[in-house]
Amino acid sequence: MAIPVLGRFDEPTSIRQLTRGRGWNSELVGFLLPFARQDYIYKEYDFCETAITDDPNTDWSTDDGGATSSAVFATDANAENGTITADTGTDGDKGIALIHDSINLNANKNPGIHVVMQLDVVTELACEIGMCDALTDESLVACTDYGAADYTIGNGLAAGVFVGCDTDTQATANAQNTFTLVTEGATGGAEGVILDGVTTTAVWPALAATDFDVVVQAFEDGGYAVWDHNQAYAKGLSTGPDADQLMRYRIFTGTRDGTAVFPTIDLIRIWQNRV
Amino acid sequence: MANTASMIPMPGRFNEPQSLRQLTRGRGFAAELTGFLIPFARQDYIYQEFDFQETAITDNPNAMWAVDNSGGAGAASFATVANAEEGTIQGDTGTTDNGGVSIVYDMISSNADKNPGMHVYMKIDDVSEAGLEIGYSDAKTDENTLAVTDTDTAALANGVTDGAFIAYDTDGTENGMVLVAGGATDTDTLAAIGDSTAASPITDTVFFNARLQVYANAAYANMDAGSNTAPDAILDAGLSVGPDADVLMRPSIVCVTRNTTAKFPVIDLIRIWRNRYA
Repeated sequence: MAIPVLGRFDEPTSIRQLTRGRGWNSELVGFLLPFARQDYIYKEYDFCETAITDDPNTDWSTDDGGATSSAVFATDANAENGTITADTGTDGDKGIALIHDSINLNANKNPGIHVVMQLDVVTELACEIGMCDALTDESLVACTDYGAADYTIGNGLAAGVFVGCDTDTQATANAQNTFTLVTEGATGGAEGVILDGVTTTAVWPALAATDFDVVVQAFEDGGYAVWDHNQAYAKGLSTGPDADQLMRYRIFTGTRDGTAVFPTIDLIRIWQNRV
Repeated sequence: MANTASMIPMPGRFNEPQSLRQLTRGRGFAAELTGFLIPFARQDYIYQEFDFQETAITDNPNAMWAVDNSGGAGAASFATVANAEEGTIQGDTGTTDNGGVSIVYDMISSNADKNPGMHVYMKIDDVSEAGLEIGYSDAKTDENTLAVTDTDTAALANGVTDGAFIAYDTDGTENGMVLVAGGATDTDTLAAIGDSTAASPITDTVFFNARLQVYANAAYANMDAGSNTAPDAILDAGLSVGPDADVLMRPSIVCVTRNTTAKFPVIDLIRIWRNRYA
């Protein structure tokens, strides 16, 4: 008997093949979704290449606010696991960003991102991880005030779903001392929710120089995020980007006091439905 | 020595990791899960996919392909469509009648006895007065011209001695797609993919799936619209003739215009595979 041939299976490597006789509500189906290539677009960046300019990393651009001594993301030579690190520089309120080149994410195709990264310090900084349309200045925050009741979006952002923090605005308003899921869309406007649901006594989930996981999942008029795969730090919103407001992935870090912050990224995984 | 008793699993401790034997152990060859995971049985299968998420078509992994056009008025080779949803590449046949565009895998390295196959998800802006072929063959004389020169009476030409194609050509009388295969041993033969008298299964600006599986002296193809709402509308055909073993081939996609209106083929996804061992 000949060994199996891929093309003889019905709709090979599709969601229909994966779920045949198994159903959709299965951990194995969830585990294997990225490999249902006919129905899902999935790509990962593990930064094991010699340089950040090597493919596949050329899908991304680095943006530098131009602060004193700032440096864009670059490969850490001989780093365990392969990582990239940037330097926000020492000018307060400036930052650096890693942004996907193509602005091609439609919320109606459920784009998502998973990032494993760390920050050398977790005080006096701003950070945004997720997806949004093009900003006026990619090296500045998009959420300019977490303290306001409706969250204040600026910097040209019209559509987005991201996890963010900003020690400047969180500390001075509602003491939202943690990371927040923020969404923005033409129909729903800006909205936000703190990941652990606690406003004044939240525990800061990020530890200095310690890897953390962030998953951000966008929907049409909705968003969801989870920190460290811990459901105690997971929230969803029923407002978000409209369909056809195209977005791209973006990871931003800025300093808020003139002490350089060094974000290090180990892994980025991105996905969206094909149809 | 580190205590490994409580560590998470590691591939190297399994017997023949990522092999077909590991995948089918306790599961068998015929399981759907086996079929789904075949691409990841790296020991036994070569599998590559091109989703065109990259910034430019010159970025890897796309550098494995060569793009070209026939040089007609306005013709343009396949290039990345900036900010396109899902990531796509697009070509322009130009306005010269019978002018075409092609995307051709660089290496002529696929042996029919290792069951090469491909899956393409694409669309054409205007399927009237157009020709398209998706398939495996040895090198063509002109890669921007169809090798299937007749979709009514099977004929492989343009320098091709061995190949298998999913073909569409409005210059012929066949309404839809056909599977054409032949080789040094087998006479070129044709079969309609689905119902040859039905309306064309491809329509303007609508993505469709086309899948081709090649064997030594045989071929199989199927296609369907890309919509999740019509999962059962699959058309297929098989032939017991095809390319000979040991005549190396490569995958290619060619689109031509059959009048003086430019056609713009858009490709979202190409997947190619073959067995590592015969």
